[in-house]
Amino acid sequence: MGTLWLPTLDLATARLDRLIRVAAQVKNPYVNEMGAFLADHRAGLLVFYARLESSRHTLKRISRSQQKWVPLTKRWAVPITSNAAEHVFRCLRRYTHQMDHFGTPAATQRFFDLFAFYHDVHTLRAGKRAGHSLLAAAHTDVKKLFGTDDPYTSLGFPPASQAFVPVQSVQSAAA
Amino acid sequence: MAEAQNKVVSLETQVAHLQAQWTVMQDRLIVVLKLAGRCTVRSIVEVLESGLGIHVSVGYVQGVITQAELSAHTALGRLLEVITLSGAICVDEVFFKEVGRQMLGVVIVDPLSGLILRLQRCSERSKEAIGEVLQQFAAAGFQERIKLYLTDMYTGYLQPVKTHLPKAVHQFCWFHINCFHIGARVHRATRTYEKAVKALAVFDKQHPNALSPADQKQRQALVAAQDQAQRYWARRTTCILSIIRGGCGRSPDRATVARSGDRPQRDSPQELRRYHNVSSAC
Repeated sequence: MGTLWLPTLDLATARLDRLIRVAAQVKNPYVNEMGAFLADHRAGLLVFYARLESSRHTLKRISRSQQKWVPLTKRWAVPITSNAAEHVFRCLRRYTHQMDHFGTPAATQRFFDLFAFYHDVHTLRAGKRAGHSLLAAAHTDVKKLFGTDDPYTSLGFPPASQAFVPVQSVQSAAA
Repeated sequence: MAEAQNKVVSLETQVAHLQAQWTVMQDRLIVVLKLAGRCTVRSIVEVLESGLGIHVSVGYVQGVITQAELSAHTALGRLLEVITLSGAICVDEVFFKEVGRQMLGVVIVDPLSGLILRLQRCSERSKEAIGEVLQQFAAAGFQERIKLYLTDMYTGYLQPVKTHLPKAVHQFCWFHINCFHIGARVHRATRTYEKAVKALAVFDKQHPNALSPADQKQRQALVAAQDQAQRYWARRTTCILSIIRGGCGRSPDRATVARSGDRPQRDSPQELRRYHNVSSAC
């Protein structure tokens, strides 16, 4: 697939067609299978170029240097894998691994909602977005929306700062 | 005396206030343990009891978590109304257990921001069930905003995407193609070649002396299998890649014939082993 990573759709399509044609000629069942697979899925392999080369630039990406969403015009920035979904499953498994199973369908869906909210709003401890939540990194003003950037406070619990309230000592109260 | 009594009342009020505050903080702690600590309900009960000396029931903890879950549902809805989208989404599904039965979680993620846009329970991995998830997603105001849709090529996605997200183009995930489709075939072919080489080496080791006609026949079959795998896999794929990249420019057959012309005659096991070493080095 790496050989198809070319600057334009025309070049990539020409190479894909060549790959399919050559694979069909080779007397090897494995190569034939691969060629047939590529021919069957030809329509969906290079379709991302259509979005990249569109004059309207329908996709956007987060620019870290400009600190805002900018039109996606660079080939390297176009997502071509569904790894983001796999990453979510990895995070979700950290919870489900401890559990034997979910309860009722409604309970499952409720937990999914809680997990999705927490995943989007909680502050990341490591990585390139460390110190920010995914929402904040996507330039969404969480404080404006919920009045706080703390996920637990957004869910209706008191802020952690209220846990320790300065009280008068017994001696000063007695005095 | 009256002054002392007033102070006692004041302190009692303060203690009651702190107790009430602590109860609310305890609820927060339960949710923190669930989300940040990834604890189960029973382990939360144990942590509170052993760590802080607080006795709470499983039902109480479950109730606090349910309350948080309901709040999260509302908050997530508000959040999705104001969120900025890249225009691309990844969709995939994963299996879980729900009271001993297998069920499915379908996730929709923005790959450029990493935000989860929807995580929905699904009873089965069918076109209809996935279509329902996409329909609800599109109805939530995303129909016109999604321009690129990435999946793992599962056939259940093909039709629902066209129906519910008409503005999106459907891109197949290159990672899945590389690892699970093309990559799997490469792995299978490589293993076949390795097996053939190993089988021939074992045979030659077991038969160091002159071979009987039956053994000769068996050996010829092994040589043919190994040679076939080598000729049609190890060398030819290299040639295909060079042709595709525009470097070779010859047909694979001619290239293979040209390359195979200098192969040694393999009459003796020693020469065969030498040939194996050369082949594997290539």
